[in-house]
Amino acid sequence: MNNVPKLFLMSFPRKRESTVDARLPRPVLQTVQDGRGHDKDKPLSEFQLHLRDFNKNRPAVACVWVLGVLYAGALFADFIAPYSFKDEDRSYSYCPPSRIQLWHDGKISRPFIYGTKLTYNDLHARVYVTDQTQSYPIRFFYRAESYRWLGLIPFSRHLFGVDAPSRIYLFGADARGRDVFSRILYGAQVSLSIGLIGVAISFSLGLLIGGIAGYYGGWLDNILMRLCEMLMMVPGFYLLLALRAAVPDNFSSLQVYCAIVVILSFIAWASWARIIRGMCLSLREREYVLAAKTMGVSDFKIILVHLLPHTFSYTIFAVMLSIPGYILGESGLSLIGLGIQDPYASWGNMLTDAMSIVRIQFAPWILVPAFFIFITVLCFNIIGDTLRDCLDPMLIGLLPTKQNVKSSIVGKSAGDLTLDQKRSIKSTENPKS
Amino acid sequence: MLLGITLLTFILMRVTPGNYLDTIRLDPQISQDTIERYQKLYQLDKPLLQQYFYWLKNVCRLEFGYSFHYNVPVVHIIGGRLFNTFILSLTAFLLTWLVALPLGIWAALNRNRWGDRIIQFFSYVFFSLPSFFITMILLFWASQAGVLPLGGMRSPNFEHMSFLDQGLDILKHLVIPALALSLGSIGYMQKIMRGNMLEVLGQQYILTARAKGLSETRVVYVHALRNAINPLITLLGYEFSALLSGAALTEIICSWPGLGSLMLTAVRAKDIYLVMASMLMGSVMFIIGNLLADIALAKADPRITYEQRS
Amino acid sequence: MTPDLLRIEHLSVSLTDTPEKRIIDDVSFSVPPLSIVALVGGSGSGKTTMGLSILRLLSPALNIETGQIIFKGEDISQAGQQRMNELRGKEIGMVFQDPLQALNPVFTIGFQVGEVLKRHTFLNAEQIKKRTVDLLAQVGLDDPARAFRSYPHELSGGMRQRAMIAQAIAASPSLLIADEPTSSLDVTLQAKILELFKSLRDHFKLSVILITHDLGVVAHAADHVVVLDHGRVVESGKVQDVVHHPRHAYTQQLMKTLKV
Repeated sequence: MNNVPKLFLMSFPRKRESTVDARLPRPVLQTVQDGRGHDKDKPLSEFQLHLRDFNKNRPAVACVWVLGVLYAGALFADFIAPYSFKDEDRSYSYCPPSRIQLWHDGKISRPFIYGTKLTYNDLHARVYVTDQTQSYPIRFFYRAESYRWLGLIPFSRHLFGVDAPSRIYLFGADARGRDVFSRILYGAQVSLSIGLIGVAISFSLGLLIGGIAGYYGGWLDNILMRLCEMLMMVPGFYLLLALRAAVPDNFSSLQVYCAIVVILSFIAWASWARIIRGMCLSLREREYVLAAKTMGVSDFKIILVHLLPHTFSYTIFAVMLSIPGYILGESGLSLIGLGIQDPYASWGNMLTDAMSIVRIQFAPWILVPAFFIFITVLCFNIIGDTLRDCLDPMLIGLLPTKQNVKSSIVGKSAGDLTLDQKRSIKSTENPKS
Repeated sequence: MLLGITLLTFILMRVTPGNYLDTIRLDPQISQDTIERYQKLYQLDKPLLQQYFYWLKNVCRLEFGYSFHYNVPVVHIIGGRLFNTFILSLTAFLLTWLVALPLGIWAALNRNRWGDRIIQFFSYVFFSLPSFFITMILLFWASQAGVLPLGGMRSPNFEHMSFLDQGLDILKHLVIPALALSLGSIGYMQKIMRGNMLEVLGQQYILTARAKGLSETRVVYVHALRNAINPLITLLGYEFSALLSGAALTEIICSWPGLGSLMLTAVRAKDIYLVMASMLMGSVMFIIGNLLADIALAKADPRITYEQRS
Repeated sequence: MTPDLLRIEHLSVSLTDTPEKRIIDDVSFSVPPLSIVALVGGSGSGKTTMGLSILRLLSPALNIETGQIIFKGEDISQAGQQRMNELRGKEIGMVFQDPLQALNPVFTIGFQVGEVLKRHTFLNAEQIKKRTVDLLAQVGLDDPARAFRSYPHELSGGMRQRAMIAQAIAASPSLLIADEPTSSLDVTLQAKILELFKSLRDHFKLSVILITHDLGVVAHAADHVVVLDHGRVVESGKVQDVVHHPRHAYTQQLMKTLKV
């Protein structure tokens, strides 16, 4: 949530550092085979060029994969998680993570775990003792508690599991003996989707209102912008709290979820609207808009089809960079108990337990959700940054190559660019918002 | 503008079903009479719009109404809390700027050396870590090390300390929340500073400065820095407000008695006046911060005049 | 015969990473004192790089491979940064193409010109101020006192260019390198600035290397001309000779672009 105002600024098209000094021409053609088996140079589309630039950056691609894994985990949570999110067993409260054993009597065997039992030591503190006499093999495609995947398809196989009465805790257990690993997966459903849905709503709202304000100008623009400014004036977290308070107490969990999404979007759309409006204000002077108007295209269509798509290259990375804001906002809310309530899992509310230092000391695995939040946010940030590098027209063709020159204080000198290159860069200069 | 915000707040609170009195109503010990008396006192029985204007009138006289929850006039509580949040935000703000700027400059000048890479890495990490996580980790370390107090603002024997000791005590309590708040910002600001410096160093006028035979130090620290700082001044305003916002969560976790935790209590108790006043104060600080940033920018960058900025 | 002010001998500048790719290939020419030498060529001919090489302001992507730059008898192609800093501004001044980009937007003109004086002379603040205003008047600014207080964006294009020239000649250098000084100005201003260069040559006793792609500029102002094409000298000589009797095909092409 703290990031929303910052990201509003970050999303202004900015000139970026130049990390390369050698001007090598950027290949814009791709050699393909035409029907007769000859090599032909086919010009790549804009989108393909951007995609290729993006792929050159290894960390960014790695982040895409990581996010892919996380979202896949969320999607298939029911299947991958051995237990449901509310499946509790108090006799395993704060059980440490199960160790998967691969050796048995000196031989490699099927992965299995030993049984664990809760005992108390002399100081009446909890100690979990592994009972090596009992081993429980980990079964795959285990038939256990049935569920409905996506609420539609009934299924009862889980990816893995162990026979009762033992329980397998990959990331340990929380206070009530619920499996942290399973709850992480279910929590992913909430936390990750809030990011996407939230940004979808506020971005669309922002696009619409910003487009209208930017296109029509005049008093409509003024009113809308005053409205946006008003919303942006209130510190985000305060507004969040206040809006959350407006939600009645007797909402069901699903309704609370929707309410939170709506609230987060409500706070954020204003900054989007301002940016979009700024861009539209300058874009509407372009010739193609004039041409469309003279052809009698309806205003709405002009905004939708002509103006808004041109804002995309500037905003797509801003979208990426703002998703963490939603995730953090929801986590923050859940952390203080105003978000998703028990027993439903969200990465934020799994951390309320972790607020007590004593508990962290003897059960550090309850901090795992924070780590996941961190990874998710980090990935979005890296992807967003890379997207910005790729899409910034000032830098096209100047992306870092492997032969990065050794650092020196003398940056690039404009004398290195030919006049043509200078002219072409000037022409793609970002319109002032 | 402020008017709009107050209206918004008021509407929000009124839209909430249920108010403080409901909770008392459930208490069988309080008679119906008392409830009615409260209602009259707080004008809850008058039409909404009238209530709003009445409140507004009082605000102009700096009377923010009466808190249900704490049973004292709102002004008494808000003042102290506001100050606390202010010093927390200020400290975090100073910390951020004093650390991030030199770090960013150094990183820009030593671009791509291993020092720079390390700084970038940590910046990314701190910037992406959720602030509450940083707070928790810091609290954890503090508990292990036993050096710093774990929250709150004053030690139990505060009243007995000398003035200097009192100041030091508050400072000690300030360390963890301020650090937690500023680490994320430091990472972010450092990246921006570095980016700005690199961009500025590639500009034509730096080449001109070099062609004039000026020493490298002068070129970097006078010509380049002056230009690199400008965009950051715009950020000043937003930074301050972001700190205010971020401070709320950190306050809650560290039990720092500030505006944020007050807001939370108020919201939980559905204490209308308190909530409204808190939000108002929060917004005021935000606006002031922005205003200061605007003024600073206008002075710093000769290209901007008051008429030009819309 | 007076020795040349500047002599470039077999200079080659190439990319640091790919030394085969030469921006400047075995270029030799000389600049006599009190003359205007035009360096002409199209885009990519290396003329700007040439100018920057003399002052050793190339980016790290380029470096001087071979050759010598002999300024007043001293080879500065391998000189250290310390020596170069002494030369820059004091002995060799440089003017760039776009004065709006080339002047620092947050400092006044007076400050930027005064900087040169502060660095290279021993005048005190009062004297610097007076000298700056004088300089601004000498380069043709109408209200030098006002220009002194102004920021670059407050002046018109022509005035800005004059201010930049003032900055370059403040410490009385003997060589002025002008990189496309008139390309961002309209035609009338062009003529005025070229007149200014000529008067600088006469009154300030300096030589000018005029880098341009415009032969009209050459014909108007230059004494000698060196034509560059893809980093190589294709023709050089006195202006009248080259303009009226171009020998190389490239020069002839350039001449055709001139509406004579």
